[in-house]
Amino acid sequence: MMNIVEKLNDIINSILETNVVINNQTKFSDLPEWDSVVQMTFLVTVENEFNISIDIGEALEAETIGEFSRCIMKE
Amino acid sequence: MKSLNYPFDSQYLIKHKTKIRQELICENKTYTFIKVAVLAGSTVNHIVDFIELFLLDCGLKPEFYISGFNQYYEEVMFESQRLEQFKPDIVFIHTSSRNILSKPTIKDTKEHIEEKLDMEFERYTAMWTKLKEMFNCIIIQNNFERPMYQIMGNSDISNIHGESNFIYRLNGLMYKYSQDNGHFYIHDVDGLSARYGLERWQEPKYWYYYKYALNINAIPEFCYSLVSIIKSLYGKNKRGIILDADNTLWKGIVGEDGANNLKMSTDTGIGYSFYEWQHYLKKLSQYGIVLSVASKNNECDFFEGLANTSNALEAKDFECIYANWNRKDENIEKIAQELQLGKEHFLFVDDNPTERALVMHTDVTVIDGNKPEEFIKYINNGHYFEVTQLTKEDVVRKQSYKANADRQKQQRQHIHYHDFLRDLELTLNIQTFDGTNIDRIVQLLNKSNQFNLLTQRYTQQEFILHVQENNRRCYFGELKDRFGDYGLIVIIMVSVDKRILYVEDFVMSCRAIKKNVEFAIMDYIYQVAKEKGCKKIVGTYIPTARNALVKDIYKSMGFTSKDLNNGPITWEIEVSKYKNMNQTVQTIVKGQ
Repeated sequence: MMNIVEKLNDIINSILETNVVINNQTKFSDLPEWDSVVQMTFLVTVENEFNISIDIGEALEAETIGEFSRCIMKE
Repeated sequence: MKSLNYPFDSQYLIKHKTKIRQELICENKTYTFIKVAVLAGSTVNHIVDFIELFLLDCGLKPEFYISGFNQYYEEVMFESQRLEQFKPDIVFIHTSSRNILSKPTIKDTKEHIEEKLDMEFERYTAMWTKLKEMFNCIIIQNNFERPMYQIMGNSDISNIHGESNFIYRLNGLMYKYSQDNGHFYIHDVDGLSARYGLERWQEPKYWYYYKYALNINAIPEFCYSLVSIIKSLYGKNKRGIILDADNTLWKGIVGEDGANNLKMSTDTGIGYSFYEWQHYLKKLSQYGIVLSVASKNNECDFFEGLANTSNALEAKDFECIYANWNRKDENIEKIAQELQLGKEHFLFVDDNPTERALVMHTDVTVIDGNKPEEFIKYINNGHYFEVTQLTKEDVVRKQSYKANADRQKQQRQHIHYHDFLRDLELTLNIQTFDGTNIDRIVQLLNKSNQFNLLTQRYTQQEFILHVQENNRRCYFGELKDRFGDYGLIVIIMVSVDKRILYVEDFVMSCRAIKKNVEFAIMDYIYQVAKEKGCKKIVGTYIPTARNALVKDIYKSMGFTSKDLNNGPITWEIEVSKYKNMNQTVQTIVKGQ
């Protein structure tokens, strides 16, 4: 079983076609070519892969992977 | 690309669209370049991405003009310089029910509502008219989907104050405009969102946070449907469907269950599904879609199955029929050649997953369903036959395919088929009836319908008496080729009177049709006629509902006839004028 961060890492690399390694401290704004459109693709894909519905308002406030993980763990 | 073929995995496409785009660009196809202006009533980023993917996949390389957010009207009517420089081939107006400005309220009078409707519609017509004047381009306009809620409940759709009713009428005005303007096409979002599931389609949080007028997960479906209009306009529709027979056209296996036990009528539930499917295919064929068959059957069994009167489809509805035991991909290759169409223009439908897997490797699009209702759904939702410019030529196009197919068929028969027969190393063993094989002979006489000149039926007793009368002779033939033994497959009965040889019963098994066996045995009868000092050979054909196959058989052997009516036809030939026909079957006469 992949943990949440690994799964998010896989999603980010698929969307961006990159090979970055992320951890809980990684900031979204530091990821290459991260913008609002990519962010939206990311949110939808997380919803699909975790089979959850995300509160987009809260998710948009998360600056780091760790904050985002906590946000989706509630769902 | 396979991942973009219908039915696709939208979630996969959303996650991997960057990779898919890179792969498409690496394919390095020959592209047709098109300029597409997207006029946006809501956010379009992902929409543009997917329009591009589906266009690239079919060989169209788009350059985009994208209007500012919700500037679809302004950038046509007031600030059109950038658009004028761009000179679009296609303008896509991406509006939704969210863009309707003046909606009816319960306080409005009937006149007020009419005014609002006119005002709303005029905004669009003004835009369409100006676009046409500026560019004379193709315009694709979304219709409006049902609203998110119905204030008036069920009455919302019928009451003039209902928003649903207002949208319904607005759509009606757009359809009328489309009927009167050839360059203007409706993208049916109303239908698409209903099929997708309206609540899922409208998931409002994507509007609240991102101003998307639809669920992001629905964007691939939305773009596929939109691009199918463009594909159709650029001549990239499919042209034909190649079908398997057993358990695909009808329920049952004709060679095992028998033609009368196939199910394709409304009498049974399972039959009903095939009934509806055949009617669906028949309707498609009326729009010029070419239907062909590639099935693993004996040809005669297939035709017996098709002759079952419960079929909605008849032999004339099919352009090419390949019912044989060859590989399906080879048969499909031949169908494409005969119809002179690329394989990418065909769909293939077969209930057998092994056959589908085989054909999957060709350019043919394989419909991945197992039963009739799935075939209909996948073909319908795949938008393969989008009608955009229905001209008289489309409806008559089928006839020209048919002519091509006939020409090709002739060529095939005269050049290749001859070689094919030779390769089979056919051997016909001819014997005179002496009481042996009586079971098989009577069975063949009584069972054969298609290659049967007189269609006379006998009991064994009657047959033996019949042969003994009038100095008759009965010959039969057993056929072999290098693959195996066909058994006793041909019977011919003759009598001689006053130096005329009369051919009476002439029957052949379907298994031996198109093997030149009929010519081989007639060549032998010619030998017999010569030996008996006959001057003439006379044969008779009695038409039945089933034996049209042999209507011209004597003619093809050089016989002539004076009978022109629809009843029995007597054919004759001078023995001195008879020419041997058979060049491919080796004949052995027992006792010689």
